[in-house]
Amino acid sequence: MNIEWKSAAAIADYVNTGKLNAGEAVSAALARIGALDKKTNAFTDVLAARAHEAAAKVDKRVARSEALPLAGVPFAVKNLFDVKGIPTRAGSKINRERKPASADSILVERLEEQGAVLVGALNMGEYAYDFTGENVHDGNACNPHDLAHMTGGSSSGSGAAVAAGYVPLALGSDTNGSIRVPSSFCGLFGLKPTYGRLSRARSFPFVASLDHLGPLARSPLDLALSYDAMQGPDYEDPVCAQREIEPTALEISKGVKGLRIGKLEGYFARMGEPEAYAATERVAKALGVSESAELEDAGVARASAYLITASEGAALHLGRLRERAHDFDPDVRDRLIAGALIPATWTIQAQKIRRHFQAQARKLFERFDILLAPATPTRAPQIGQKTFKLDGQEMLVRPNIGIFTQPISFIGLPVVAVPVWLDDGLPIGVQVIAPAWREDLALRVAYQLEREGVCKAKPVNL
Amino acid sequence: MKYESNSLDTKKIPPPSLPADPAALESFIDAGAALNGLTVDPAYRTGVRIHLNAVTNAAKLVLAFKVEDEAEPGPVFKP
Repeated sequence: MNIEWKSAAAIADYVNTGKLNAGEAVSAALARIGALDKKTNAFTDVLAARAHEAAAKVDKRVARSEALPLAGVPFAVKNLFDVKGIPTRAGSKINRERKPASADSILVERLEEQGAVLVGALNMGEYAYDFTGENVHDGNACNPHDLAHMTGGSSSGSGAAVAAGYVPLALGSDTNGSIRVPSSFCGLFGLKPTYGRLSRARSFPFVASLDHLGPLARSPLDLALSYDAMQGPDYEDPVCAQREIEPTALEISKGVKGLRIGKLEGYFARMGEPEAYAATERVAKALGVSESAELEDAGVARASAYLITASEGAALHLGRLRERAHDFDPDVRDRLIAGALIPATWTIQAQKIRRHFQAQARKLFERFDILLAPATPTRAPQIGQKTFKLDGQEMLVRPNIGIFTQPISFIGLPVVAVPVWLDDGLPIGVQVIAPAWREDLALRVAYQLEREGVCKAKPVNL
Repeated sequence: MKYESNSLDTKKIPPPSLPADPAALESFIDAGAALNGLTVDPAYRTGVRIHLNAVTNAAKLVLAFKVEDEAEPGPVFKP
């Protein structure tokens, strides 16, 4: 059976009903990766032996009539997730000297408990300080929809692997937009859950105050199925919320009737290229949105996220910067060194602004259930492009791709990025933003948009 | 704890004059790097300066923003 464009839900259904076995699903995924990934450079580690072994176990469980929501679903993870037996390189040269991880990341464990099968680890921007998908150590990940263009980062391989049809599901991390940006550039659905919703245990950190983990997929239902499988308290990550599982997949088709949806204006209506606004407008129109909303102080929020990121990132890497600065990606190294010079008073002020901005958002969510905003200011720039013009102003690409995603992750709101195809060119994403802990609402909206054909992931010929 | 709408109000708090003049920025790099035990190789210097400039531009907005004394910083954060 040809499965490269099948959803995780469909594959699990085939496996659970005996139309396909997990071994076949995994073999098909590995074959496609082997044949095509030299073009996209999504994978840094292909784990064929492990995957075959795990698939055989899934087939035995299915034979015992265990119902597994993700039976036989091949998936892959950004290489900052611990994978037993390989060093967690986090996109760096330095980390590949670490000891092989002694256990899988908790999220890998939880997906495999539900029948999914890990097939490999994925390329990423060094230490996740990246929005481009470029990596000097492992080579750039390339956008499957146009290989000369960026995947977006830092979950670059996650975007490329799902968009190329290697796997229906990949995990990424999102500190300032690193799930939503590759989703936008690669034409995918991506879920950045509420801060603290999914455990980060056994993954390599970047900015403890802002790090989130989550899935990228070609359908909102696959996001929901994987998100449901990964939820739950975990004392290994002190930030992980002690909340019980709140399933989303069962109610994803509930529709959007009655939801109060607003389109963010102000900060979110400046600095983007026309296509960013055309995409948001298309989504808003499909949802019958006429009301606009203003999330005040978003510019200051973004600036605060910028400082916290630079400072906490530098603190994490200070020892490595002292001893092995030449082993970093130069683009990352120079930003981290600058971050090390930030006075503590600046970042503490930024952390206080976080509290203020949270209050602003809560106030806005008294009037709205969902807010819409562009995910990125442009479609995917070309690989190697250093600057772009936003609102007529020449700006550096690398730090500014996340101008619309940063204020939202700054206060940990859940977001589903949805892909829009305006023409025959590259896709661009829109953020469907919900109040804290209401991933279900954002997923319902994304599902409705997919059902109406407004947002979808497209197959690609490689 | 009550938080009032708190738009950037440059009348109440003048934005700090960051970044300082280029020479001061260079001195800051030298002093800050030394305090952190970092060596800024001449090949890194331009990149570090560009990014420090971006950081100070962000800090201008952040430091000009008035927050309540009681505002709890983010690390104690329950969304």
